[in-house]
Amino acid sequence: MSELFDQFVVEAQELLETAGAALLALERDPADRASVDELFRAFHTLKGSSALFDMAPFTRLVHAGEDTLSLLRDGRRGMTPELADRLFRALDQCARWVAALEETGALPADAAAAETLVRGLSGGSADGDAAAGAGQPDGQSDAFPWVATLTGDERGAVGEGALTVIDYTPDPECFFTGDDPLALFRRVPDLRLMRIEPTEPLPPLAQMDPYRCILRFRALSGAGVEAVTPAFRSVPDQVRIGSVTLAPVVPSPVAAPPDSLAAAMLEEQARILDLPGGTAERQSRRAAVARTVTAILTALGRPAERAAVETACADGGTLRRFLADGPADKPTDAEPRPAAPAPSPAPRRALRVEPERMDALMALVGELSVMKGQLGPLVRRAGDGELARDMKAFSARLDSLVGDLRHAALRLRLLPLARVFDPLPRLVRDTARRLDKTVELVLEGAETEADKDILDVLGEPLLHLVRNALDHGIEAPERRTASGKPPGGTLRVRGFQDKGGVVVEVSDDGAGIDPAAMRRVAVAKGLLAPDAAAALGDDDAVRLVFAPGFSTAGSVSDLSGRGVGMDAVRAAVERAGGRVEIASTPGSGTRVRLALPLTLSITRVVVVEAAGSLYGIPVTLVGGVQRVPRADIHGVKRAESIVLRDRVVPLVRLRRLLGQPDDERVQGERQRAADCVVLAELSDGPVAVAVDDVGERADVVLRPMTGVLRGLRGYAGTAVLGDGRLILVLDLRELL
Amino acid sequence: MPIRYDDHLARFEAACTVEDALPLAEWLEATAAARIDLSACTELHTALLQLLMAARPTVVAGPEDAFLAGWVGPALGGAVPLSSR
Repeated sequence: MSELFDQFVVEAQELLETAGAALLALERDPADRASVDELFRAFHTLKGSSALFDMAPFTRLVHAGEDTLSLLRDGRRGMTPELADRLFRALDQCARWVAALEETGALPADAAAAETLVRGLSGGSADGDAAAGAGQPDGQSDAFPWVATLTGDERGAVGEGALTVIDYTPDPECFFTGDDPLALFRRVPDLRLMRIEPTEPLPPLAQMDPYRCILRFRALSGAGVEAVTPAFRSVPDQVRIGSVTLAPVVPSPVAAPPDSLAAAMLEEQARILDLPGGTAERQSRRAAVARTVTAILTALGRPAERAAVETACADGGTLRRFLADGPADKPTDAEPRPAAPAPSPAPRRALRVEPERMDALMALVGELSVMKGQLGPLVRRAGDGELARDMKAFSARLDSLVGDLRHAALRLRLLPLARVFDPLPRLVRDTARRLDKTVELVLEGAETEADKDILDVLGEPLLHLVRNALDHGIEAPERRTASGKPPGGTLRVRGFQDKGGVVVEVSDDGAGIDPAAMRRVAVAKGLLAPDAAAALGDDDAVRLVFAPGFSTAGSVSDLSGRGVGMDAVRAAVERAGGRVEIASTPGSGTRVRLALPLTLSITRVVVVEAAGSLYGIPVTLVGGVQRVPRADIHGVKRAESIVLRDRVVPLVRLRRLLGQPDDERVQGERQRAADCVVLAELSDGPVAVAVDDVGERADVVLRPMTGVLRGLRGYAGTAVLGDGRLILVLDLRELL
Repeated sequence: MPIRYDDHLARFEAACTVEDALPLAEWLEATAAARIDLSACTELHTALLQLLMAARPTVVAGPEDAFLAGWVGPALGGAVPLSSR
């Protein structure tokens, strides 16, 4: 693909992000001129740059968006949540297209779906605010163009008169949220017709993602809109419902009957307008096209004003819209515009490097650190001579250089948390709107930096937590008022650095989690025996939301607790060597804290010794290291425990975990008075691990087990210490 | 098991859910001249429907469930005639 094209993709992504943020701001404050301007500029620039490539649907959509925004800018149209929805949908569609362009270099063949978006935008603009202000989807038949294309048989089956049209394009990801689009239609009364169509050409089976919905449903019902709407209550953002009246023939304003010769000729005229060429060339083409269109329309018995036709012949998109919708309110091109092409914002001074190259660099830096570590012992072996002294000085300098290099290389991979925070405002807006809740999102620490890999790990769980907090944490306004809280909830997402890692906290001022209810559910689900549940402290009971199998059913949300897929959040964070904590006060809110290491490429471990071998335990899991007097270890048969910080903590011996014999020396004459204990903070609670000795903390490059060792459970991988010794890094969760 | 696989024939029984999507996709891909029997199927998840629409196996028996017979049968190649309304 050409550089120009790559540039377009990158620029389009940035513009879409800018537009999304501006639209959010605008919805909050409809009088925000700066945001309208910014939004308009984004659409305008997208229109201009997309026109350089063969992607007419894209250009058409952003053009329609631009038209709508220019009305908004001139105060001829007001901002409404419905209009915002449509603009958001248009932005989403563009983002999907850009993603597809980046991947395959071409637009997917779902232009028809986009046509609906275009109509949604421009249809509303033709008659001012009436449609948008009423909060109802456009009920005209031209909002559902497919209705005009029913075959004779279908028309017979459907009958005539007032019908309700349903256009349902499920979210491709809807299976994950438990939707079954087809099943919704079972609840539609008096279903007269249903077309099930793929939104894109069905791929070969081997390339099909079975969990991605690629179907679209179009249906007609004899029941009224208000009787049909309840069936789609759960997916208001994916469905359009309106009413049409089917007469024996459905004439649309100017359009020719589809599939007719006239329609083909008119389409050809629109195509001619989009052909490339010089200004003079286009000018003369335009005049010819205007003459032809006028003639065709007259022949069809629908004469149109010459001037209107000429205006409509500005470009292909305008002509098509003119033919579909009738004359537009105003000639789009009479609009004063910033000189085209609009001055795009100064390109960010950024260098894009492929991630593989970064990884290669990190691996080399890791190897270099290890090699450098081996220099120390060599220098010591060289003795005290002058040569040795020089070598020592040289080695020290090398040390600091390698340290700096590693720091610099690590920083290259750091990106601000803003990358994972950016989708949140939109998610909160859409979700809150769907749930009829008022929620203010407060983002803090978006500038905190973390490794790209960590951000990738963080993205999904964060969305999950936010969705959960909105769904189950923050109560509906009435309930909040009843319990003396402000009707709008506050959701706070805060990022900061801590202890060599990055922490993201999601806290809400919602209902909190009731520990008593958690115990009951755990018993009801057979996860805990009743007495074990009763013995559980409140904190531990709340932590049950992370237990696998606890939260998959809907029962948790009935308790106004939270829980859908919380075990998935935990699993993702722990896989990356991080930790999840939760704290909740019934009635006043819940806080979930995700702590992740700063990077995945270098792991900080505590080196421990057991039975003469060295092992590493990731520092993120270590809550403390201490010597515990033998007398303080309580033993019941072979199960041992100790009391640490007022908590009873089970104690395991690393030797036994690894199948090594107990330390004979220790048992024998040289009875040690104390055991070395590493406190590991696992999410089901702390575990004390007794080891023979605890050594240094070291940064290591973790190498996963390969070959026959891959099946070995309990180890996260191998690593080489600074002095060249090999350690096995333990995966305590697997081991225990 | 809502879908039973017998050699070249898959029998859909009772409510077939999204959990059957992956096994069905694999079976359809691995089976030449696949045939399906929907007669005992009472619910067909959209994920399964779109796999069937993509693979177009031979429908040896259409669904008896009225909703599926009316709307899904035709989408799968019209093995079941649309009952005239």
